[in-house]
Amino acid sequence: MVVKNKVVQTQQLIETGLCAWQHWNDLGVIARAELIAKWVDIISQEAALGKLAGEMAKYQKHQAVTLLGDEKLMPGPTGEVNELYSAGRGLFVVAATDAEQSSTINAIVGHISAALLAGNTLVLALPQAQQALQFVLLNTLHAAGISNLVVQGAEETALTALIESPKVAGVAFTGDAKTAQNINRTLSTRSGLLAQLVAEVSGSALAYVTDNHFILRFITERTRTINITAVGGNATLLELGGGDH
Amino acid sequence: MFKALDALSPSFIDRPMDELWQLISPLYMVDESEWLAELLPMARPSAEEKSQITINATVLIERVRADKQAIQMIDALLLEYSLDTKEGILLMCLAEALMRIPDAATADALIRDKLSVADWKSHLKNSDSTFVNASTWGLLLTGKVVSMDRNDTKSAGNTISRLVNKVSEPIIRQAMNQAMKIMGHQFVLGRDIAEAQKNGRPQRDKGFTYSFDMLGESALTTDDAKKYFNDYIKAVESVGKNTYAKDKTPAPTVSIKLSALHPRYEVANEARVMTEMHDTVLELLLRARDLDVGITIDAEEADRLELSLALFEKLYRNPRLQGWGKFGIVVQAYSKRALPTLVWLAALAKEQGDVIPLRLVKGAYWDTELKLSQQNGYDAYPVYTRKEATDVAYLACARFLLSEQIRGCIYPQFASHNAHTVSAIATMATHKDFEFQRLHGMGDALYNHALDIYGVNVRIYAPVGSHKDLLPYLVRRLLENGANSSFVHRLVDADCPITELTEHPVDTLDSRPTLHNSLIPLPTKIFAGRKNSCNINVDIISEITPFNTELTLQMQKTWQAAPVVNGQVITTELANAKPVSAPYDRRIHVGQVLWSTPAEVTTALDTAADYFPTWSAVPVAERAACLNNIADLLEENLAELVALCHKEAGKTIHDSLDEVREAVDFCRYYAMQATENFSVAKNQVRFDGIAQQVTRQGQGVFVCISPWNFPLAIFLGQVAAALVAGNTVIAKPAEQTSLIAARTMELMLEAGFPKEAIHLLPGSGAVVGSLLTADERIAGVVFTGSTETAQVINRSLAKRDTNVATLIAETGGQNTMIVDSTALPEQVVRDVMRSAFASAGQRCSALRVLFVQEDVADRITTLIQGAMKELHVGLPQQHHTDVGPVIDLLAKNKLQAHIDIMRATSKLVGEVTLSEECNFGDFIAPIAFEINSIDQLENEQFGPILHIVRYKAAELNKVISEINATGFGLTMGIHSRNERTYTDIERQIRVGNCYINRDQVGAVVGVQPFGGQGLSGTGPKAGGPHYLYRFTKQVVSA
Repeated sequence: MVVKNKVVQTQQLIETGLCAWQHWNDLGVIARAELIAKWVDIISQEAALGKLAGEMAKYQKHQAVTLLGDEKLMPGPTGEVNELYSAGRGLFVVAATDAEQSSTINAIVGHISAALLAGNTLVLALPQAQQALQFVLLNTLHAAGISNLVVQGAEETALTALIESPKVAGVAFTGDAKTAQNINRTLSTRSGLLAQLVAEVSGSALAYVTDNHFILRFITERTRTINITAVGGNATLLELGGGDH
Repeated sequence: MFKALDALSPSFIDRPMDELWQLISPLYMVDESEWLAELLPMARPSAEEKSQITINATVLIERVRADKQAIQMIDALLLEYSLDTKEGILLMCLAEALMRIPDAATADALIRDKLSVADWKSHLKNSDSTFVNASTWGLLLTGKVVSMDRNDTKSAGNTISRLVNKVSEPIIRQAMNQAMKIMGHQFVLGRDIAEAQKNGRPQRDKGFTYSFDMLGESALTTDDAKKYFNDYIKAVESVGKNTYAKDKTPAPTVSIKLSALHPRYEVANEARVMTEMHDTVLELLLRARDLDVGITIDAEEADRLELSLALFEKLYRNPRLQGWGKFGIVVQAYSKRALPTLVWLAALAKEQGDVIPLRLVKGAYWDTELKLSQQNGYDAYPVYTRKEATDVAYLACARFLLSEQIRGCIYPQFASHNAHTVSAIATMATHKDFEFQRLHGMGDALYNHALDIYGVNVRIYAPVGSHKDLLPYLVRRLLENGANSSFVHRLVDADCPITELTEHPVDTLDSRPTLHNSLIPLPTKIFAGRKNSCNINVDIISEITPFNTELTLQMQKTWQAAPVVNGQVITTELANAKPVSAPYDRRIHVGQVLWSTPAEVTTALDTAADYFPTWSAVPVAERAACLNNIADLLEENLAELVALCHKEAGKTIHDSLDEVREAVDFCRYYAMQATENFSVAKNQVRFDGIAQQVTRQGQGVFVCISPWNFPLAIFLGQVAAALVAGNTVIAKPAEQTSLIAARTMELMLEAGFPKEAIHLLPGSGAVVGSLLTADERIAGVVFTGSTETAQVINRSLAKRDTNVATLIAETGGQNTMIVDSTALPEQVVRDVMRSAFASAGQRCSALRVLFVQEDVADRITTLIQGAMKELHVGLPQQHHTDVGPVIDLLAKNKLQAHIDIMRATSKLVGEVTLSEECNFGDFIAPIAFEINSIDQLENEQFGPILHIVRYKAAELNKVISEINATGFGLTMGIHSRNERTYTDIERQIRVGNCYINRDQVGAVVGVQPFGGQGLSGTGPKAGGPHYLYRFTKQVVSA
């Protein structure tokens, strides 16, 4: 009976996260960056997270705005508009192995901020020993104005059920390489979409989460091509054809 | 190159017809500046002539400007709603779409979409024309009401305005339709030929005559072509019987648009054009001759010029038309081939002795020609890139046409609305055997005065047809080719000095720094930092002939494939080689392939792993140079690669050329990306304040597993990306297309890739693929293929006790297109045909499920049915083949099984019949079914099978949810003229590549980076700016 409830709860978490996704994603990178900026302000005051957690979120925000902030206009033939932009991949699970180090906290904050900025909704499922940390993270995120549908919390016991669900787009994991491999194996046995495992396993070096293109792991790219010839899109040629040059 | 001035020598047209014909095609995309230098002396006036032209033009313009009646009808409309204003474009967009929308809700939504975003009030009373004010009044009225709708406050007042809005919507629609009708009257002389003749009487009385044309969309189906034919016959008969003003002005004629008379008027279908279409046009001409009604063939896109001339000649020479002298043709002066075309036509006329009436136009497809050339990557444009260059060419052509030896061969008809051109021709002419032509509704005042001053013949080219069909067509031509609409401003704009309008185009062109227009880059140079892949235009004789010679040789060849490890082609077990046959004819031997053994897999892995540190340390510039080298080599070996695409993959000519082009683009694009992003170490400050210097380096050994549907482009795209990023590579090509991979591998080694860095292992996924993906030394896998195989690979990688590998997978799709009732049916169907059936539907991006709003579904399915009847399925190397074979028997059987189920459960919409040439290959005839819901489809069907679903406009959101629920997310097409509608759909649909108002296949590297989401793949997008990063890791270097 208990097991069944767990499954139902997990399903609930997933459905909630997926429902919240469209709106969160539609906000756009800039609007989400503003929310993360508020979160930075709040966690910078939060002793439990250490003094660099805020800096990590700020760094991810900067990278998000730089790399994903604008829709990129692609070059191409006349009479057509081609744009490349990014969207979130869906629902990510944030997980970690036990560790009280500040670097782990910074990595988790890096994962949360990058995943959110990219346009994903989250379920935090940190280890039992870090439920207090998870509580702080959730509270501060909600206090920053990020809805509790966008970032939800779960107990670690829900982790397996979460990552076994083919509806989960990916896992952002901080910890040891062995656990990362195990998670990857579980993800690989799922049917459905190929999940992304974003794993920071370099310990205190934080090599991955500080990669200047780290945030790309959390996005999916989209292009939009509009043929504008039938709506006067060639009008610019008119000037080019007759100009003095 | 043809010496332009030679054309003026009196005996030039006495040369053999063949010889003169040979002069035309080579000028298709001749160097613009060189050719203009040839033409300039022909157009250049003597001092005396120039001053006379200036005086005449000045007088003409002064008289037009002094004339209170000068700005009427379309002139007035274009003046007030110029296409360089937002309102002008919106008004035209509305006119283009509104009248064809059958359902009120969609029509109202379109009106709201276009009217609520512009400042219409400012146009009211600006114009003296009652017509302009009448339409502005309509717009303004609606603008007011519509703007209330956008008030979002929840006040009581808002409720009232919403009520007003509701009540008013039918009224708005009525007003708008009324405005469109008024507009239609300006563009169209009459709804049918009788009405046109009646409406034309006042102009006839003034001394003008007419050429009538039943213009409209090109025919997509035989039924539509028949309808146009009947309209033309009716017009000929009506014109023939009418005697109004017969003694006062020259007899009216009928102009015909060839693309209306046959669904496949194109070079690829030359045989049909020269038989079926020839017979149709002949029938029309014979009727016209009976009634003595002159016929003129309109000019269309540049690719069709040579074909149209061949058809014209055949008809002209027909004994039953000889001795008539009223069969005419149009030549476009903006075409680089115009002058030799005129020469050839004059020689033809002289030889036979029947005068050819010839309309010389500047050309109305300029914008379209530019776009086509850029998309296709041709070396240059078939048209001039400066307006004044076209004007110069026009005068050079006019000089030829007015010369004494042409008199009696060609009867020139100069079509222009430019006061200077008109004056120049009137001045240059030494006789009166010519006429001017203008468009109905345009240049009225100009020609009223020209007629008065010069006493020349003036003919009005007048569109005839129902406003509902014709206004959208004419307006779309204006919107698509806006370059024509600017003259009217300057002519009547008192602020524009007359001296500016009377400057001779030769002087204008002389004053430019270059004869060509440097602001319009050549098609090969539209991408900054890299060369566009080259292409040949298979519709142009001078382009296709040398290519075909080479291709014929290459088609005789056979090829071998074997493992290539460490630069060694391993053929020790040649006895085990598997024969390769052609998908379109299994009797044809293409070559043989030797699959890799486990030992070779091991050697490749050892070498690739050992060499990784060395390759990783090679400067990015050197790695990138290898990519640029291979790109050039591919272009040098174009014919052989096309032959391989034909014979091993069953690809058609266009698909084969596109295949090579895409591979070339991938190489040049990734070379550029790597050079820009990875060449130098970057300084950065970490989040914790630590300054560091970082570089991006490869991750190790990458396995590239590529599919058969893009056996060169995706194969090389994956490999090139992995290599340039600093990884060593083991490539496993698809079993079905190992030969082309092996040939590419040879070229790669020739291009300078170290033999230790790239290894080729042909073989099955089950053997070679699984050995590779189980090996712990593999840092990453790039895969394109099915979702199932991607999962197998993922599991195999995950089983290893090592760091999580990078997996880039590009998988299947259940691609859809949504069409609402604002869309243009002909455009939709053209795009559906290409999206669903091109490449026999064997593209990841191909359309599988078409959603059509039920209000227009009957028309669209009828057109699809008709267009399918015109498709030719057959041998891929033939130019007229639209659809080639599928890849193999397995694929064929799988598709056939699906078709069998669909036949039993769904409504058949259309099916192509296979010809006998398909008997020995693996062919699936394109087929279309109507189904109730996308839920009826479980898997992607990778072939030419189209499913059509009708939907209710009100249920659009449900459609979107159903599409998203499939879990696939690769491509999507949307056809709608309503910007809010398509923006909304695009936002909600979860796909990687969305295409609006065009087809949804043929993504171009660096323009539409390609890749999907969900079940369709992991990303990042191939051919996009983020792709290479996924092959690298950040390394802190200091």
